[in-house]
Amino acid sequence: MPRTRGGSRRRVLSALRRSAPVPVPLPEVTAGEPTGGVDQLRHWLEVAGAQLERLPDERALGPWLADYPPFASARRIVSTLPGIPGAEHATAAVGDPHACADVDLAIARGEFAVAENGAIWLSDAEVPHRSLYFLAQHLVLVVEASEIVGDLHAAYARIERAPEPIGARPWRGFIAGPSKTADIEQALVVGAHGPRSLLVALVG
Amino acid sequence: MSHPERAREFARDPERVAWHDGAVWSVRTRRDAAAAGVADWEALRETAARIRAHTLSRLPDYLEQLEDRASLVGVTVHWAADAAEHNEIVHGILYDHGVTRVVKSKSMLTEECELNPHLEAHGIEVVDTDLGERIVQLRGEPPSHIVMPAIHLRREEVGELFHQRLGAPAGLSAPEPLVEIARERLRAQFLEAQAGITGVNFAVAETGGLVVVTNEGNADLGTALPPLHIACMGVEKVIPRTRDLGVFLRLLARSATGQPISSYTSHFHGPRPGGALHLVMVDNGRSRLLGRESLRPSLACIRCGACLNTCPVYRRSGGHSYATPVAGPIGSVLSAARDIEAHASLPSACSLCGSCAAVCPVKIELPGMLRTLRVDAVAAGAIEPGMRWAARLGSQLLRRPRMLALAVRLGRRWLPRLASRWLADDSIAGQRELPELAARSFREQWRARDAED
Repeated sequence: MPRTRGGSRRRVLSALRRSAPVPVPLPEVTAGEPTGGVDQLRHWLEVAGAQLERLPDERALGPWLADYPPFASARRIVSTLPGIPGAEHATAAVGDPHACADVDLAIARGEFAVAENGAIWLSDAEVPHRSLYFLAQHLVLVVEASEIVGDLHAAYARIERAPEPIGARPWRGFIAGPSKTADIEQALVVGAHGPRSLLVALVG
Repeated sequence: MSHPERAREFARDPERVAWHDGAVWSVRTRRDAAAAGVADWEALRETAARIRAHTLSRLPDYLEQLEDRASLVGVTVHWAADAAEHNEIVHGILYDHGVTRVVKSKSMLTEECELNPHLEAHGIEVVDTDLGERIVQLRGEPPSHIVMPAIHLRREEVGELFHQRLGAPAGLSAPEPLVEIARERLRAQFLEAQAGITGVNFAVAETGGLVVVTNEGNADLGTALPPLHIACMGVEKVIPRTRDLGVFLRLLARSATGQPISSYTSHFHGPRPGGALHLVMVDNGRSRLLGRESLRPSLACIRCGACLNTCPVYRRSGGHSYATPVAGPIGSVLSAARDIEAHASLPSACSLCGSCAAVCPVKIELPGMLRTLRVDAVAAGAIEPGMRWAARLGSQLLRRPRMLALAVRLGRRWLPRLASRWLADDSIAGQRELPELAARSFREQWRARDAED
């Protein structure tokens, strides 16, 4: 059983205080590039093994997906967007994250994209469970074309300014490609544990 | 065993050394390309170093703020003075939750604390889920690199391991089917796990947020599925603000693998719905390191592995030659600072070429620290007799100009012959050649110059 928490807390903090150097100032961080281009975003998504598709609006996604191989071959599709033919429209949170284990394709909204690295910022607010993002065999993220920031500085500046504080959700994160590994001889293999593909649908 | 002796083991297979050297160097070149693609890269490094220096100068305050904010979002915070206490705390939490099956994503801290054997001794099954870590775990080895744990292995060895341990067909060596086999196994283990243990890349004091980065998504599966998440961090992992993440994340993946960002960057603020999140903050010698001014900046390390990839010694001696949780230049500093007697040969393994400092995203002056630690090794009487005598001889010679002149004359005649014998052995020195000697010594050239005047 662990020893009492208070004792070690005091011990660690006082040891750190004894060793503390002279205070030095905290530098300011640049606000970054507030806007980013679609071409740069597409480039980095493709480098990461993902794909970017431009669509006029969200309603165009369903028809477009009909010819998308991971969609065409999927048995179970879960979507937080309404109106996707053949997909379960996920609205309510489910208690058990394991329920997403047999999802072949997941479709969800991302809040914004980062052009310099292809990262999509999202939260666990709309999905039945965040496990959906990682358990689905294939992932489609839908992002408004107007919501592209230039770099990570701008991304975090935006996150800090957002009406809902970052800590209001248990999970938020960047997804910047499919799950991948290079742990066997540095050979890049896509589809390590999580999604084997990522499609970013840029709408509007 | 010393570093040269262990390096000799690795050097026995020159083909493997050449492959390892090339594979690791290719990561360095990818890092260079990624760094060149960021216009303000040097300013970014400088800002990162200054944020770290500031945070280290107010570490207890930020840790208290982190504890406070993390508690507000439902995280249970624990403090551990050393590795043993860390292991007891983690085991205690698992015991309280009746856990016997754990999935773990990469955490150098838990390697440092030797958490796995501790939990296994208590009957808990721990599955490392980073593919490279799973490979070395199945082989019963420690990781040889902090970012690429199985970089010392060839694909055929992984195929043979999977054949023996995971029921893969014999003779398989192509990475794709091997990854597919591991994927099926590990996904089942994620689904069955009762708890997930992760490290922490960055902990944000102002929000209580914990940020964990992976390419495989293993930390995400390991924390989204089981109801219990235990995050383990060294006390140096805290940063002040959310916006500081922009600085460090722009540097981290580019320095580590040349990617602009890793596939998954998760920000945890509290447990998953219906679950529990425990954070264990560990000192284990870090407060002592903080008190040593010359070595303090080593606490700024973000574990990208760039110093390993660029290090000519690491690339040719392999990660296991260091016999430390973290190999390479930064590992040599951290381990030798912790226990100079146990790691006295590591500071001397360095050639002081300075390449590590040139690539470090937080500008840690590793060569200077390794030089300082050499002094520590001598003061502790922990260097080999041969080294001690060589240093004494050198010191005597350098104080006596005539003796030095004589030694240079003799040396110029005998060195090439002796070196060809010394360097023709199976140690890592065997991979090196003595440069051509100049036709005339410096003294001879200087005298000739005087004569011309």
